Amino acid sequence: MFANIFVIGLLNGCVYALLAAGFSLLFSVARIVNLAYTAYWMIAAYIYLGMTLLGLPSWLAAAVSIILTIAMSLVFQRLLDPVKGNPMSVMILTLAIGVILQKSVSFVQDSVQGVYFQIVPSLIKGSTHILGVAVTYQYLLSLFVVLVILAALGMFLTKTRFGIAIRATSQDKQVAGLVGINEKAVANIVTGIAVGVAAIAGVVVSPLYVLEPWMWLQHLLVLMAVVIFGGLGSLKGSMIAAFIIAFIEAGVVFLLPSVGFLRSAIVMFIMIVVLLVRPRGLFGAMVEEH
Amino acid sequence: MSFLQVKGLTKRFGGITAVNDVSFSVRRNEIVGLIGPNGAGKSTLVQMLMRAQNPDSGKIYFHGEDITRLNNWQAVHRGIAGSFQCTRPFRRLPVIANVMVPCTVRRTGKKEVKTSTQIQAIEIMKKVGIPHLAKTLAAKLSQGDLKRLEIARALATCPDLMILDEPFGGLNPGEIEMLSQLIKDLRAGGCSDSPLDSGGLSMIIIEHKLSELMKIVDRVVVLCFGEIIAEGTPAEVTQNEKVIEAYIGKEGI
Amino acid sequence: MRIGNITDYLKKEIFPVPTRVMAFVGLAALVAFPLIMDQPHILRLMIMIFIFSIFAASWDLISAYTGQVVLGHALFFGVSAYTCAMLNTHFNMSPVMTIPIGAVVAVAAGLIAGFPALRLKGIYLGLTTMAMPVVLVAVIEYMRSYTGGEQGIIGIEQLATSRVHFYYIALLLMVVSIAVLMKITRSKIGLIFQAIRDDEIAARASGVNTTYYKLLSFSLSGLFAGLAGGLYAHFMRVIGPSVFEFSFSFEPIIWTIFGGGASIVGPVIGVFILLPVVEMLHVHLGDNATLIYYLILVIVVVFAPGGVLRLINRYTEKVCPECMTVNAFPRRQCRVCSAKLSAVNGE
Repeated sequence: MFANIFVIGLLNGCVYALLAAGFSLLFSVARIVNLAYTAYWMIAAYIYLGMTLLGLPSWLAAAVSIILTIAMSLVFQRLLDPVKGNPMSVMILTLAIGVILQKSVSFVQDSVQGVYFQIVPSLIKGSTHILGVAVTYQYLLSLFVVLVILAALGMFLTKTRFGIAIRATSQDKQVAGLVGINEKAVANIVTGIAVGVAAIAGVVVSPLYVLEPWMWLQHLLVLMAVVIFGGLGSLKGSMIAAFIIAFIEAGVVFLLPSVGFLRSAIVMFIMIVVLLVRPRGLFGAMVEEH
Repeated sequence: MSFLQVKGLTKRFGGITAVNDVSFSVRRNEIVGLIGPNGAGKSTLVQMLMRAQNPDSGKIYFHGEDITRLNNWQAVHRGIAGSFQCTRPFRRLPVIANVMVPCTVRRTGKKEVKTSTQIQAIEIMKKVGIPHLAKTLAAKLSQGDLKRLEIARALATCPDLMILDEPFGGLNPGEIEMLSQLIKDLRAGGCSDSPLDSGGLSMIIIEHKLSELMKIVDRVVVLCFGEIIAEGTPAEVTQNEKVIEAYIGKEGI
Repeated sequence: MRIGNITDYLKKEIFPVPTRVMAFVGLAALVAFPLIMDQPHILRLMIMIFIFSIFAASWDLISAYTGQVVLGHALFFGVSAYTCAMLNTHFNMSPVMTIPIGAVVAVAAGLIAGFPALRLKGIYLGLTTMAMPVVLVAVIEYMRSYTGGEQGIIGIEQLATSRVHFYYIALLLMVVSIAVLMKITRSKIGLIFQAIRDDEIAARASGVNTTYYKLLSFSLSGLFAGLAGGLYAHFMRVIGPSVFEFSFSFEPIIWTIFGGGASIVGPVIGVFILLPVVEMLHVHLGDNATLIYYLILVIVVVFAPGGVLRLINRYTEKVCPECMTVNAFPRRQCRVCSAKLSAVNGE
């Protein structure tokens, strides 16, 4: 039982953490709430699936999927420019982009008859037992890849010159401009990195899930909960929140199976309570407004 | 019964004591300058007077009433109004609407003749010298006009005590001249329809441009590291050794 | 009011301004509409438009006017709809009773949702309000013996015996609601709401009791969303947890952004345009309708960021810089103060 919670919670926690990291990165530099973010994750999984169905080798399919997804996100980013000043319009626009991606997938699915579009083939087959729980090699691979990307992202942001430039931009745009950081270029690269991270997650994790075009909405809510629970813009906060939420979810599903369908409601309820006590999340900067 | 009396006000942020055991008072119709080096705790002190921040200990009395635990807006209704160091206009509203907001919610006195808030707002804009900007969106104002809008909005609450945080910041010499004159006029005439009909209002002014400040204040309170190190007329304070010491390396005196 | 006064009013305030003429003619057309068109599905669409216009305008009040980011507006709509449905099916209460009660319950929901708004701002408030319907759906599914769980509640009584009858009730309620909301937003209360939107701290420093006005805005918004929800329940005669879905919360935002926010009329225009468009797309394209619908939305938001209303206004009227009177576009002089109007329509 607890081993089950641990195994599921750990993987979901890692995925949430990765998506939250990308989402936070996007928010901290562009200062926009991009609701289409999990849709990129979904579309990457589907492009990967489509490419493998066309007969491409896994690695090539993965590469094509990631590159296509990033390219798509950069094009969509252009659309946001005219409404940058109005957060509500940005939200509606990114939501619309997400729905358009979802409906495009459904459209393709419907027009190609006779192909089953839900189960993504594993990169490697087989399984083993850990702590008495059956664990597939795909699960271990996914976990490993997600952990590596997380670590790489962390290293990149704290250790490299460019990563520091990004963080400088997120702290203060005007000052960053003064010290010679090209804000536009940084924004584009950050979008690329953030969406790339989501795409990689989509490719390596998708074999563990049943794919549905609408699932990005469900993940979006969890992702928003994670990011805001942890404190918008705090990388450390969202990492911790990701695991808390993933383990709560897994705990509810395994310990209280009769109310398993309530798991997102329980997460939401806890989040509302936390936000009421700490209005800027667990680790959000508690600065006084001026 | 004194007008404004502050007793042992203390505020800490984490380990730093921003304001330490500060006591002083302000008389009716008096202009008090609050000066001190950067980080002396001036802004924190006036924020507490405006009830935008809560003190850790100490008491604030206004008209003899303990207002230490009141809200920001309640303090405004008691007659304390303030302007912000960084101007905070209602950006998407025109200037006249900015001034009308305090007019719609202000306390009304017995003597007040019922006039529409629009007329009240225009009166106040005339006083401050921005009636020609009435229909301009606040987001499009220059820094100098924003400062005057801040003062107009504070004035529109019909205060007995007005707190100005760096009113001269970002203004050119001509604008400073105008604003100084306005401040003097306000002290003399006050907000004409004030329910208390005090005839004039008191002010606390934080300012770094000391030479300009000294011309308009009656009394100066000097804050350094959260404590009052000197108090007196402008002439006394500029002679004070502690003050000179605190300001060494600073231009101005 | 004497007839002379009315014609005078029409002459002075309605006929000189093209958009007001359009609204006047539109309203007259809506009143006459059932006389010339009696196809049930068209009437059904029109009734939906009326109900959702109230719903959209109530979101405009809370979010576009007061600046409180509400992403779970379906909460108020659904709470009222469920209240009406349960009171009607369990206690046999008539719709005349249930709809006001539903609206009052929605006001209570508004106060509950407004409570976090006293501490939270922006996206934090948005997510909290977005999470509330999710929690409520769980409660509904858990208490299925009262709420019908996933199946929802069926067999709710119709408010009116005939569709035409319902049409006029819904039209009347929409016109009254929109008029009241416009009155509110143009009053002192509306001014204070906008001040809170632009800068809450400055509003407080101006003496505004922000707690009171924020809760007031939430209650008013809840009231009108609740009214819409009650009408919806008694029109559809069946409701389920789907009234709490995200899409239901996002629709009023889409209508408002499309039509033009902070105007009350904008969301109504949004509903009047978008709902028939959706209906038409569904008839002709089936499942792909949503795709096209969102593509249209993207195009409009990108190319007309202020919404359709601003677009119409820009090409039909000019505001006098002196007295703020609205004039028809071709005029060179203000019709009230004779001031010169500029050739270009500036903000």
